[in-house]
This record gives sequence, C-alpha cells and structure tokens, in this order.
Amino acid sequence: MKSRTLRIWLFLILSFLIFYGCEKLQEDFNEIDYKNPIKIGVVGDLANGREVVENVFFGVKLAAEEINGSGGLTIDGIDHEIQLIFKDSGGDSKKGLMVIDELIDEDVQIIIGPTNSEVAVDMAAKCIENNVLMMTYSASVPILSGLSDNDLIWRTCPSDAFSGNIMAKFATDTLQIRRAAILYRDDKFGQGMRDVIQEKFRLLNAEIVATAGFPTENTDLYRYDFTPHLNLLLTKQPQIIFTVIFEPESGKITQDLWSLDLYQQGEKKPFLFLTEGGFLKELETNGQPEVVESIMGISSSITNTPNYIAFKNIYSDKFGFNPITYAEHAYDALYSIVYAMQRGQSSDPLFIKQNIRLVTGGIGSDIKAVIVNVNEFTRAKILLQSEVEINYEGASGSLSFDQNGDPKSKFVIWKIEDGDYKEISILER
Amino acid sequence: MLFNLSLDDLMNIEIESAVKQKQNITEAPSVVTVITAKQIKERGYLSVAEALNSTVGIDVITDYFQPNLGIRGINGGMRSWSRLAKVMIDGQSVSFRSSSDNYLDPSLIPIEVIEKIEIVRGPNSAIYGKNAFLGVINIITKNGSTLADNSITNFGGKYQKEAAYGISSVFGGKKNNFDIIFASSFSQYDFTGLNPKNVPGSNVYDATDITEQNETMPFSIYGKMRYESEKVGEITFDISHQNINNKYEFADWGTLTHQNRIKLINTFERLRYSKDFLTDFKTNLSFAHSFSQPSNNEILDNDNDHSDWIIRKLSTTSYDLSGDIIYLFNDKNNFTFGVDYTADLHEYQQFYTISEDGNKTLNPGGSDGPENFNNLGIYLQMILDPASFFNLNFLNRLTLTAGYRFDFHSIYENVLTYRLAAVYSFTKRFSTKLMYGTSFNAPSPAQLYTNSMFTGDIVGNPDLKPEKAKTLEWALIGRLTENINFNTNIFYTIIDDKIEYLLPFGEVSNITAANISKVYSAGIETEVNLQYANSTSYVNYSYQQSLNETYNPMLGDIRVKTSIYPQHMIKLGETWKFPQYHFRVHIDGRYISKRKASEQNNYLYDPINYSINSYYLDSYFIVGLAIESIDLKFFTKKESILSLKVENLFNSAYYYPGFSDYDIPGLGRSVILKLTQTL
Repeated sequence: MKSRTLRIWLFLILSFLIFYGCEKLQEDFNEIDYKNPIKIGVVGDLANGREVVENVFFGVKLAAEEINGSGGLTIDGIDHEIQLIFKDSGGDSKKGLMVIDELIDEDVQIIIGPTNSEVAVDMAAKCIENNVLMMTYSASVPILSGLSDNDLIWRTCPSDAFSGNIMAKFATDTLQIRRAAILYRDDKFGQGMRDVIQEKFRLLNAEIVATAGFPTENTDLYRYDFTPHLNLLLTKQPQIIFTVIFEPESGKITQDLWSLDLYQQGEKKPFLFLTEGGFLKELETNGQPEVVESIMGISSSITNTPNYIAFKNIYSDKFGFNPITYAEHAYDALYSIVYAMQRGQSSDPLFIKQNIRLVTGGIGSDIKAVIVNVNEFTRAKILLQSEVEINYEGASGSLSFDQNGDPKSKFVIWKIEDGDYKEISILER
Repeated sequence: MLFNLSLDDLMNIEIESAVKQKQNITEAPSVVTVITAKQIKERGYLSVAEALNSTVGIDVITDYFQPNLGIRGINGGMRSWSRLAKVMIDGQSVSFRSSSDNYLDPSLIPIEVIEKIEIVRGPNSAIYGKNAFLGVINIITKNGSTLADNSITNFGGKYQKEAAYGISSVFGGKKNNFDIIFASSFSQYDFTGLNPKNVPGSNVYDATDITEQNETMPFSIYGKMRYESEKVGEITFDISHQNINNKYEFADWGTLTHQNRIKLINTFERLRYSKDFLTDFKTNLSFAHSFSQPSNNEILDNDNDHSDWIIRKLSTTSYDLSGDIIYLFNDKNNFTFGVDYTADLHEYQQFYTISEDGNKTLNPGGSDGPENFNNLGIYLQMILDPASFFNLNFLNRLTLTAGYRFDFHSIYENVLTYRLAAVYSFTKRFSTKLMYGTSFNAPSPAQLYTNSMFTGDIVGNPDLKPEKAKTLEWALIGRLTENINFNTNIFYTIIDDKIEYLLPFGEVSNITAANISKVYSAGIETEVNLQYANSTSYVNYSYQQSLNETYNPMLGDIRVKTSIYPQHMIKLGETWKFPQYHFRVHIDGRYISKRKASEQNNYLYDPINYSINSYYLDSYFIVGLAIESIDLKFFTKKESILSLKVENLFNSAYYYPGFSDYDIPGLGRSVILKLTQTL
C-alpha cells in the first residue's frame, strides 16, 4: 500500500513535470493577424549604427500599436489595421533598391525610411518610378528637397540645408567663430552638409580653414583611426571643428582627438560642434571625458515640449530605455501618413500625398484646424470622420510640411557642461 | 586505486562532491558521472575538457583560447569560458575570479595527477554557494600514497598542420605518515591554418584568411603534501599554478589580427585539516590564498593597425576560509554545519590603449565599485534514514537529504539556496532518485564594472543580479546484468534573471550584460557502460529542449530555442585490451546534432528578425582513436608506455558557434605520439 502510494506520488509529479514542461518548452512569439491590413514598409540601414535604426523601428512600431490599439483606420466604413514590414537596407543603395522590389512584391506602396541619405537618394528615384510614397525620418541631404518627385518623397527630419545654415550662423554670430574646420563622413550626407556649412561661412565672412572626409563604406568606424584626419585639421588651427558624423564614430573621434599632441599642446583647444543626432549616452560611455566636456551640437529633438515628453514617457515605459533622435521623427512619419489616409479615405499614395499637408498644418491647411497631439488617434479619427480638419502636432514638433515635403523645423543647440546635457538655444528654420 | 576498476567497482565507486562526504554513487543525491584515472589513460585525454567532452549532458566547444562548457541545453555564450559550472580541485574553486571563467585546457592541472573527475550535473549551491549553478566539476587528485608510479611523459605530433609537443611529470611517495606528490606539465599546440566560416549570406572571409601562429602554451603545476595520523588527524597543504599563454586568433574583438596574446596566471595555495573527534564528530578546516592576473606582456588588439594596441589591468587576491562539523548520529544519519568566508580583493578590469609612442590612455566606459567582494556562507545539511525514526518497512531503503545555505554578499543581494533529495534503493543494484534544488551564479566583477576595450565593446553593468536556477531531477541508476550498468535521468530547469549580453538597443552602441531572460530547459540523459571479455565500452545520449523567454522590443515577449547548444548528443567509445600483444585500443565517437548559431551571428544573418529567424550549424560525427602499449619495458626495468592518439580520424569538417561575424572551424585530423617512462 505504502509502496503504491509512493508510486502514485511519483507518477503525479512526473505528469505535472511533463504537462508544465510541454507548455513552457514550445517556441512562442507573436504572429499577429491584422484586420484588413494596410501594409507599410519600414526601412532602416542597420549597418549605420544599429542602435539608432532600431530606435527608429521602435518609434514606428509604437505609433502602429497605438493606432491599431485604437481600432485602426476606418476607410469607407471598413476598419483597417497597420501592418509594418521592416526591412534592412544595410547602408547600401543596391540593397535599398532590392528592398523596394521586395516591398512592392508584398503589395506595399508606402515606405517609411531609409536612414541613410545616400541610400535615400537612390531609393527615392525608384519610388518615384514605381509610384511609391516614401517618407524618411533621418535622411537629411538637401538634394531630396529638390527632386522632381511628383510629391512622393517626404521627410520628417529637417534638411541639412537648414541645420547646416543654423550651425554656421550660430557659430559665427553667437560664438564669434572666424576659423572653423569640418570633419565629415565622406558620403552624400557628409558632403552635402560640408557644402552647406562652407557656403554659409563664406557668406558670413568667416573661413573654413580645412576639411577632411573619412570613408564610410566597408569601414568599421568603431575602430577607425581618425588621427590623420584630425591632425590635418589641427594644423590649420581652427577654433571649432564641425563634426558631420553619426553616433557610432562619435566616441572614437573624441578618443583620437585627445591622443594627438597637436591637440594637447594647443593653448586654446578647438571644440567639436556635432551635427544632428542623439549623442549623449554614446559620448558618456565611449567618449574621452576631457573632450566631451567641451562638445556642442545641434538637434531637431526639442525635448522639453509636452508632445515630446509624452512620447518619451510612452516609449520608455514600453521599451525600457529612452528614445534617441529620429525615433520621434519616425513616429511622426507614420502618424502623418495615417491621418492623411484617414482624411483621404484611401491608402493609395495618390490620396495620401494630397492630404499630408492638410493634416499637419502644412501649405494649404486650414488655420483653424484642431490641434491633435501625440497618442490621440481616436480623437483625431472622430474629428476627421466629422469632417473637422486636424493639425497633427508631433513628437518632433510642428510638422507643417512645405512644398518640398520638408517639415517646419526647430533646432536646439546643446552643450555638455559639467557632464550634463544642456540646451542653450532654440532656433527656428 | 581507481586504476583497475571493474564495472562492478564503477557501480560502487565513492564520490564526495554531491554532499561533501564520501558516498556510493548509487546513493548520492545527485546526478553524477565519474571519469577515472584509468579512463583518462585508456582514452588518451590530454585535458579535463577532453574528458568532459565524453560526458553525457555536457557540450564543449572551443575558440582555441579556452574550451567553453555548456550544460543541459545552456551555454554561457560570448566571452564565457565555462562559467556555468563550479570547477574545483579537491573542493577548492579554481575559477579566474575577475570573470568567473574556468580554464579547462591542459593549463588547469597536470592530467597525470588526477585520480578522478566527479561531474555533478544540476544545482549545488546549497553546498558550494555561488557558481555551482548548473553543475559542479570536482577534480580529485591522487596522493603520494596512491600514486602507482613516478613518471615522465613526452609527446609530439601534429595538430592541424603544425607541430605539437609537450612534457609532463609526476613524482610522489609516502614515508610513514607523510606523503607528497608533485606534478607539472607544459605543452604547445599550434592551431595555424584554420579558416573562419562566414555567416550565411555574408562574404567577409575568403580562403586566404587563416589563423597564423595560433599557439597555445599551457603550463600547470600541482603539488600536495599530506600528513595523516589517527592522533593528529589529516593535514594537507597543496598548491596549484595555472599559466595560460595563448595567441588568440578567434577573439571576437579582433579576429585574425595575429596580435592578440592572452597571458594569465591563476594560482592557489591551501592548508587543510581534517579530524575525527568524540567518536561521532568530524571536522574539516581549510584556508586558501589565491591570486590571478594577466601577465605584463599580454597584448590585445582589435584591428590590423598594429601601431597601437590594448592592455588590461586587473588582479584578484582572495582568501577563502571554511570549516564544517559533521555530527554522525549513526552510520546512516548525519548532520553538517558549515561556514565559509571569502574575501576577494579586486583590481577591476580596465583596458588601456597604448599608442605608437607608448602613451597609455584609460579607455572610456565602465563603472566604479567597491574593490572588496566579501561573502559569508552558512549551510546546514542533513542526511537522514527515515527508518531510523519510523518503524516502517518500506522506509528501510529510503535516504533523505536536505540542505540549506545562506550567502551574504557585500555587492549583490543575499541568496538562499536549498536542496531536497530522496534516494530509494529498490535493490543493491538498482536505485532511483528524486531531487529538487536551487542554485545561483553570481555576476562577475568584470560583468559589473569593466570599461570597454574599444567603442561598442562590452561595458559593465553595476546593476546586475545573480542568475538563479531551480531544477527538478529524477534519476534511475542500476545494473541490468553482470556486464551492463546504466544511469539515466530526466531534468527540468528554470533559470530566472539569466544574464545575456544585451544587443545594443536604444541609446548606446555598447554591449552590456543584463538580467534579461528566463530559460526553461528539460531533457533526458542516459549512460550505459558495458564490459565483456577484454573490452569495455560506453554509450551515452543526451536530449534537451531549452527555451529562452525574453522581451524583444520588436516582437514583445517571445520564447525561442536557446542558441549554441545541440539538441541531441550521442557519445560512445570502446576499449579493447590485447595483453598477449601488449597493447590496448580505444576508439570513440561523438555525434553532435545541428545547433542554433549564436545570437550575435544571427543578428548579422537577419538583423531584423534574428530572434525568430536563425541559422543552424550542421551536425557532425567525430571519431577518435587511441592505442597504448601494455607492460612493455624498453629502457629500464620499469614500464615504458607508448601511445598513439588520433583525433578526428576521418578529418571531418565541422564548426563551432562563433560570436563575431563567423563560425569557428573544428580541428582536422590530429596525431599525437606519446612516451611515458615510469620510474
């Protein structure tokens, strides 16, 4: 009897083990069924700093989940959810073009992305050719503004034509800089920004004393030796070095600068003025502290607006870390497109492009339109269904797209002081 | 003593690692495999790692710096060298304390001085505290009194395409109550000519990208002096010195730079005292000092520009004081109370860049933290025979074990671990065990505080918590016939707060260790040993299904298969003796099923869906051969032993998971000829 009891216990324990184990030992991940999906491609160049691009992906994903969670769009009485299809264009134009083909094969007519200016320019041409609407969140090269694009190419980040001008003007007017150098990524983004700054400096009667570009293709920028470029710039004794870069190389550049005798021996050390990007944590972790302490930069992330704060809180609650620059631009890209769809009652790019400006306070919009803030999709949909015009004020600020598909942008000039990030000036384009 | 064990003896072998007391393997409340000196010799193992690789439930991969041990479906992953188990020499931890890694190559201990290796799979923190997480590997050494012969061994041969050689010796003896043993080994292997395998879809490496001078020169010393008398008790003093010297070509931070040279020293000296007193009591006391640090001429290089390089500064000086008292109620019941105190004085790992002109700059990143890690462990253990207390017939065959331990640590949270086990012996030949236990793996100082070797490299996370595991095991062990014994078990483990290297989401490009996942692992392990006529053989099979439950920002909560570890393993071997012809032959094989590539490589394979879209490394089967002479005398009246060992006899191609942008090739056919002269 006792032995039998023991065996029964053993059997029960093993049965529980198997039952519980079977449940927990199966692979399980979300395969969501979307209701009447509208497919949108989200393209990022994961080769150009994965943390930035993933951050962007999370921004778009957050927007999609808010929209779908609020019941999705209603077009002609039918509810639709947003299905995002994420693609990596690898920082490579060829791959970017392949990605467009893949997305078209999946019936995608709207693309958010890519990250990289160089890739964006080539992808834009193909999108125009295929009547695909493309809205990039970070490709800032000025040339995108002037494309003959049939109104298919948009961006939520500011053009370098604006940020470069503001940097140059701030440097000359406020900082009284007369001699500057430029260290830049030798790609379309870097070259474009170099040209903008150079031209503005010339117009402001200041001098760019030296420029140096570093390769980006097939180069591991975490480990790249920047010292020859920096030495070249330092020999011309600039007061400031405009640093046209992405996040990944920022830390290494400060380390290499610190290692140079020319820098160490200089009586008045030039400081770095960084272009758009979310450098703070990166510099805190990988930057040379003595160099980081004097850094200044520009950003289109105005972090003290109610909409940005709301976005940041939702984002960090969901993902467990803070957003960095471009996450809010990507988030706004999806909302802008979705509100345009809702207003135009169509997911066809033809209707979307006609409505984007009208729902974001852009050219031709109703000045009496009701302001819609971050994470207010339900309210916005009701307003649009009631034929009330809306003006989406995004996480990145007022979008107000112009005739080129560029947003109205504000910029913040920031600096590191005593180890802290400080916004010292807000400027409008 | 263990040298001539028969199958019968193997069933009755005594082990001491399960409960820190000698017990018959069938009665020990743990899943244990023992590899004896005899097996080490017959199978031609040159290191503890090779011996472990024949064991059920254990998978050993390598990056040609050090073996990396996985247990029961789980591997520590990138820059983890056998961190998941507690490795000890006669109960003394030999981990490199700054990183908690265990270096299991020939530098660990001269193989000739090993009496047996006790491999306990499953949790054992209730006795051993931190890092006895998924298993314990306790190397039991010979004594001067149990050493059969003094000997000197030379070997030479070819590994991959380059020469390998080594020399080792063991001397010892006993006089009156005093015995002494001393062993040393030095060897050199050169893994030149290995070509990394690209991640599918990438084309980073071509056929000309091969390892150059991938030398490793492990050196180890072990010595022990012992005095034993009934009146005084047993006093033992032992020393261990581990010297790792490796040109590291498959470093994830700088592959094929031809510059990385890892040089580490890891030593301990220990004084132990054991005594029986008052007829019912036994006490053990131990004091150990250990020290570990890199050598001055260690060089790290993360690129092919050799004008600058990286060095690191770190060291750990440790003092371990432990003692226990065992009260023996009677033959079957005892109670143990133990206390141990460890003080690790760390100089944290810090990387410096050395410029062309010799300037040294501290690399950024990392955190400050206290330099002293102190841990006080208190444990209680009871081994009870319920029949002594209750007069019930069926209880006669039942033994219960319960152990509890508290660890009070100065850095991370305090931890309670426990272990409960019931062993029921149906007959003298057949028993079953039901066990439940918990364990923890402490974050290492390097994981907590290190700065980065270069931008984007791993930085410490001072908020790390210990990983915790709970395991339920059920085992059957017994003897089917006179010639066949078996040992089988099923296990189910849940790991909370598993530390993974977090891929850099969000704000920073660096990799950081974080407690981000939960692992479920279940499986079955079966070993069978056979003996007939002049042959002995073994075959074992391991199956596991392990899943990692984690949060992926793109996919939400997911549960996916763990990477790196194979789902099926079959290991088998047979030894034939031909005494009339003075030789013995051993042949063995290892089948390793396909395995999921590392998360780092899967990210490169599919940067967006890497968590759910993985590539797998192919399965493989490797055959080895060892031939050894028996009872031959060439030079003196003492025996000379000539042996030949061939690894990967059929030169099969296979790959281990890598952690950068490639997978690591396995070794091709390797041949070693060894001569041992007994003295």
